[in-house]
Amino acid sequence: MKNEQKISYYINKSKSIDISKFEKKVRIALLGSFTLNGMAETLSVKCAEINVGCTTYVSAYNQYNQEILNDNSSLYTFSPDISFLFLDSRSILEKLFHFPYSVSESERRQFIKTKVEQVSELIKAFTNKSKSKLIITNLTIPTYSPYGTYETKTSFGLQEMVHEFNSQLTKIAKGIDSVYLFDFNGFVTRFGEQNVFNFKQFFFGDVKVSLDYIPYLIHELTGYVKAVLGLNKKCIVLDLDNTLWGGIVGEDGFDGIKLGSDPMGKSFMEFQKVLLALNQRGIILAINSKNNEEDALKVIKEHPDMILREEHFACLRINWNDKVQNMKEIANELNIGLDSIVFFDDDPVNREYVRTNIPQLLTVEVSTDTAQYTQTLMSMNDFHLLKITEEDTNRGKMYLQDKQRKVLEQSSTNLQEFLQQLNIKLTIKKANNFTIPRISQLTLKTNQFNLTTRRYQEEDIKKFIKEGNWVSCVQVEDKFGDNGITGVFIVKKENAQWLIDTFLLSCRIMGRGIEDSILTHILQTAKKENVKTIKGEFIPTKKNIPCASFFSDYGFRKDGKYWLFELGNPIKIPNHIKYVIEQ
Amino acid sequence: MTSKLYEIISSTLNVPISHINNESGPETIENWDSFSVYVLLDEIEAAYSVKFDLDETLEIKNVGILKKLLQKHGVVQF
Repeated sequence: MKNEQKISYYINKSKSIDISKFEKKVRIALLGSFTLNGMAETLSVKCAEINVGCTTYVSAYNQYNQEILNDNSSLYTFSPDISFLFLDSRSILEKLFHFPYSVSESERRQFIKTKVEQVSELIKAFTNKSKSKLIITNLTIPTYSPYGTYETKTSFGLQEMVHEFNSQLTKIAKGIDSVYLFDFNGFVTRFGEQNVFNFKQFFFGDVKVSLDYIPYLIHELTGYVKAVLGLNKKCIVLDLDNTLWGGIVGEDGFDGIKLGSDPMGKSFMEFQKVLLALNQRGIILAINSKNNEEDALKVIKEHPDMILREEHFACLRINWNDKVQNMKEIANELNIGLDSIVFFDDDPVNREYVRTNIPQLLTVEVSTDTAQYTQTLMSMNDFHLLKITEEDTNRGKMYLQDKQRKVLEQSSTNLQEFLQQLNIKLTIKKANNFTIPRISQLTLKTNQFNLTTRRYQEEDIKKFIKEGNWVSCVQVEDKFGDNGITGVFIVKKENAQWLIDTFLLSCRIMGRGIEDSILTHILQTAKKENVKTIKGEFIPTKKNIPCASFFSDYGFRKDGKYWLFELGNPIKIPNHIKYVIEQ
Repeated sequence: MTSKLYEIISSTLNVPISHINNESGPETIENWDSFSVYVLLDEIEAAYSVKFDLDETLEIKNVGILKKLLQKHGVVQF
């Protein structure tokens, strides 16, 4: 695991951050039942490290209740994007923290019930007044009990009280889209109560997360920032020798590499298992390795102890070519940005080379001790999503289908023939409770085919709908399988003129005429409703060049900063695509 | 003689080494407040592998007292 710097490093560093130089910005409120000193500084530095300018607000000492309940509090004036609410067992349990057995079991139950209701009211008040995401911590389960070993025999004892509180809090968070539960108890379990809670620091200044562990805590919380801003990583590119197995297959041979039941072999298998689990939830895996392709593929296909097989890798670059060039080809083939790739390679020279040449790619600092690989991977905060959708869990399968599409494309004589053979079917779905999470997710992370790159949280999407606008998403299927929901458009209805606020396609399905078909659908629908003009916008970014000429290619004409299409003109109808319109 | 200690104070409290002397404390160092002094002690404990007791922690009103405390814990060179 990466060792964190001491808190003084962050406090000093935070003073020299100029947030105006960052394109991406975020406003974060920290609220808590104890001293939060040092947390805001650490958060600012960790955000700056990922090129995010972070403005923080820290609630007055233990004033979170008042600040949340008061409409005019400085918390709401600050208008955060993300708010963290830190709760702790001592504050919540009050005197029952020390004297749980001074009252009866039924009183303990009643106490927890009341506390859960209070927190629930607080959460509701917050979500009514603010559109900020709220991340609330659960409570540390105390390891000490005056009942000692009898604690676990006691009905609704101290530990069970906290368990109950935590489980009710989890339920509340599951029920509200913008509220998330941070497993603070899990954090304390991982690092140890005696490390995270330091009595001296607690007596000295009501510090309930010891100074040395604040950076570790903030590291985990930064995972939420990455998820909210869509900065999560999508793909892990792996080396092979001494990364997925021990030794060098070209020298040690198929039977000589370390993979399997010996201690070294186990470390690689464990690492592969964690990678496979990430793949199963939607993280793409790829290989970039200097090796004889034949030797390496034999291991991947036939070695009895390989966990990851060929079908788990969306892209393989096993050759003697330049690693940076390979990396660019991988990004290109998978249609993802280099900045959404994580690179894992045991060789420090390779790492330095990739890091220098592709600084936007996250090259992980890998320990020389292979026993640390798994730990390093598990402690990364780059793979979090606010919601894991069906598209995420099916992604591995989708990339496999993509490989088959490429084979067809190469065997087709021209693009039109290929598109005809694909049998593309589009299903246009109105936004609803099932599709809103995916719609928001796509607006947050789509960069290339995204005409306006407007980022919307689920709450924003709901607001559009409420205001009578047209929000839809597009599911794309073809003969090889279902790509899932991979397109989104938002049309603002302004009487005789409709404005395309958002129009995006996942990069996986670009270049198949799908974008034209969707636009055609919008135009035809508008025409039926007697709309005269469709207005479109293209807001250029560093990444959305692929759709720069979309409107002009389709036949829109430029008018100031907008693109216009008069609905009196003929609308083109791509003939290789079938539509289904779901109401 | 006192360079390591002064370096820690300087970097933690963001004050030039030339401004630090035995009398330095909350009156002379702007960033010396109840939290930053705790961060400072945390740094010093780590740098010299010592642990101050709570009452010792509360005694520290200036750099001179800090030095005496370090001596008490067997640190001869700081």
